[in-house]
Amino acid sequence: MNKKLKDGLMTKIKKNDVRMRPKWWFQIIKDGQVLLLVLVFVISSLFISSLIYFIGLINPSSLIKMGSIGREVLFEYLPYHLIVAALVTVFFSIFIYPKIGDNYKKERRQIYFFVLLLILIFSAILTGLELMFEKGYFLF
Amino acid sequence: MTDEEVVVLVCKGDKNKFALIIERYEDKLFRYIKRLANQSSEDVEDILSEVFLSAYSNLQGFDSHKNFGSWIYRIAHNKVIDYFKSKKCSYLLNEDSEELIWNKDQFFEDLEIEKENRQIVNDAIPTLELKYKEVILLYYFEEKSYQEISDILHISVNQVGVLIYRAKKYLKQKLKNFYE
Repeated sequence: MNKKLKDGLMTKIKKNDVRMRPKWWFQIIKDGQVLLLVLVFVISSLFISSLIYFIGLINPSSLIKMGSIGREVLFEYLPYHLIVAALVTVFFSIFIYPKIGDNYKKERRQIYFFVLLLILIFSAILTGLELMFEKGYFLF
Repeated sequence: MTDEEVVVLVCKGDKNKFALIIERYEDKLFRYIKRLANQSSEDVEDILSEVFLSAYSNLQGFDSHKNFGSWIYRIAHNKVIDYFKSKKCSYLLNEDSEELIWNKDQFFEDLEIEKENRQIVNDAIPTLELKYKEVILLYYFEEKSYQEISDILHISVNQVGVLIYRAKKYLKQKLKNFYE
């Protein structure tokens, strides 16, 4: 054992050259990470439900029935910015999920399944709320 | 007294007890970092000091229900990664560093390698990519379980198995190439 190393380290610690970070600091980081994850889930769900809404407005099935002109119109009016935003946020969710807490213990397949399921549930809830707004359920 | 109990005491203000942690982990972590970073003893000691200082400043963030050994090895892993990043490479072959002893019977038996071929494998280990070298090191030389390796490297238990399998395959291939 290197006595010099141990003594050097203990001197620094006793002299308060190195300070212990307080417990609340770690709690803030932990809570912040969970909050970030929830935020990313909600944002990606928002993009997906908006995508569903706008695609519904375009009514793709009737456009496809119109043949090549209908398909051209469909491709022209597709909300590409929403498609890109939804894809980016979903991939970001999959990327950060294993980095939070003990999630690294989960298998890749479990992570994909859980993240996508959660985003789909959030999106379904948001789409449902949008429909309820449209039908005036929230008007008193 | 267990490591976790010592940590509780240090967190309560008994700074002197941290010396116990240093005593328990100094040699183990020195060996681990030396094998992993493949650097001179002076450089390894610098990394080791950073590990202990970082462990001390983050001690309140340690969950005392978890394994302290895995936690401090995780810090050592991160410090070695930082070291590699500062050198901009994934492994280092330092000719100035002292000869490393990678001799472990269980390891060679598992790889089904004859005694006369051990030196070839020994020479090949430092050339392994960091992720492969680390799992081999933790499993065979530090005698950590798959679960502990998973906690140290923050990967799933299945991934640990896959990395060990691939590392062994690479070493066997090296041996095969040597005779071709």
